[in-house]
Amino acid sequence: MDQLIADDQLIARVAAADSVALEALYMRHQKRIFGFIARIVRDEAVAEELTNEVFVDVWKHAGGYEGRSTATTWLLSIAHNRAISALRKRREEPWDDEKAASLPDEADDSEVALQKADKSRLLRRCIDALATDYREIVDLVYFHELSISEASAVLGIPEGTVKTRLFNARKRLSELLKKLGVDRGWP
Amino acid sequence: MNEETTAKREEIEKLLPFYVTGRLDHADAEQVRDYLERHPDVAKELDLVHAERDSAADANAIYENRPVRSFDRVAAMIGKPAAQPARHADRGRDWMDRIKRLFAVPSSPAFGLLGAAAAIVIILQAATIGALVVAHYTGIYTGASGGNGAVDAGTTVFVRFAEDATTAAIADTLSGLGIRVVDGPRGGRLFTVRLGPKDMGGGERERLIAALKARSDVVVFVAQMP
Repeated sequence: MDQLIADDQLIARVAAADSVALEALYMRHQKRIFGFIARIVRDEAVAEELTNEVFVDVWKHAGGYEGRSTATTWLLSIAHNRAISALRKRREEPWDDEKAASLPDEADDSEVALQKADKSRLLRRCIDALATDYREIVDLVYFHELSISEASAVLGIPEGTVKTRLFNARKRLSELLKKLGVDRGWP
Repeated sequence: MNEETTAKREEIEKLLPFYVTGRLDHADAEQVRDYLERHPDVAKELDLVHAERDSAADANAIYENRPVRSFDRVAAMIGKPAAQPARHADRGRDWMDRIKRLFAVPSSPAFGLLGAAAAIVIILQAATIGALVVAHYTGIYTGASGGNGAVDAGTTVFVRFAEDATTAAIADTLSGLGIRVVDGPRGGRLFTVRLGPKDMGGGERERLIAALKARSDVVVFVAQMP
């Protein structure tokens, strides 16, 4: 039955302290939220806990949801804030993307990989090696298929910055691929 | 390429990912389409964007087959038991199982003091509340007494119960005042309760409302019917 209920309606019920509605939202969105967070924090156990905290935030703040963005966008924005906050608390060394991108593939040495011209796999490795803010915008636009305004809402940045950040992320991908011997001919 | 041309090209390139995912508004999509028709060199970039999109999907795919996690942890964090959605055929039985489990555990100190007669009242009252809750979530509830559509006529008020109030405590409070649930919950734990007959005296009505409000551990608020 709950599958017929729109997310907005579920959130309204959550705002009225309806835990069954929260459970329905959780079952519907947990996988997406977990994946999004895990890609940022790179730790599944941490992502699991943060995902739970996202839904606790939903429980606490559902009354503030005004429906100006989609429920998915709202959930992703909470997830973004949780994940970035957790990263800051960990105070980890920034991800060394150049080093990561140059790591040899487990199955092949770099020469063999290049000979196979497996650009797709190399591209994926380079996406994984991007700095957090670049990787996040790539995931939001390509995987979660957010519009410019939705990505702006999730990240809390202007729409122009969304476009520029993704553009720079794509340029960075070209640079990383070039280091691995793949010239995409762009930019 | 002059500065204006370069700026225009970059503007279009910034839109390409959204063009490929179909998330541009109509005007922007038209603008990109027109530009690509006139600039085949930029159109070739679409292949790169498609490749990026496919690789991003691959990178995220590792989480797609992850088993769905239980709600139990979140339920514990918010202090609510996870619901066990009733199957249509077993709706009543599932709920009664939950009621049995509820009463198998001494849920409140007050419960231990109740006599057998009071316990029966509590179970009946709890079952009523339970039936209302189940019916509410499955969208079939239409009335207060067994879903016959007849909301009890009489003097009624809205009551919201405290989130941590046990079913036993709620039942104890209501039965002690001779009040019964006739509808709900609406919007969570908001119930309609019947104080007495329609022509009950104003003094008695106010006394019962005051008594409900006095049980602040069980009742969050009492609101008069519109």
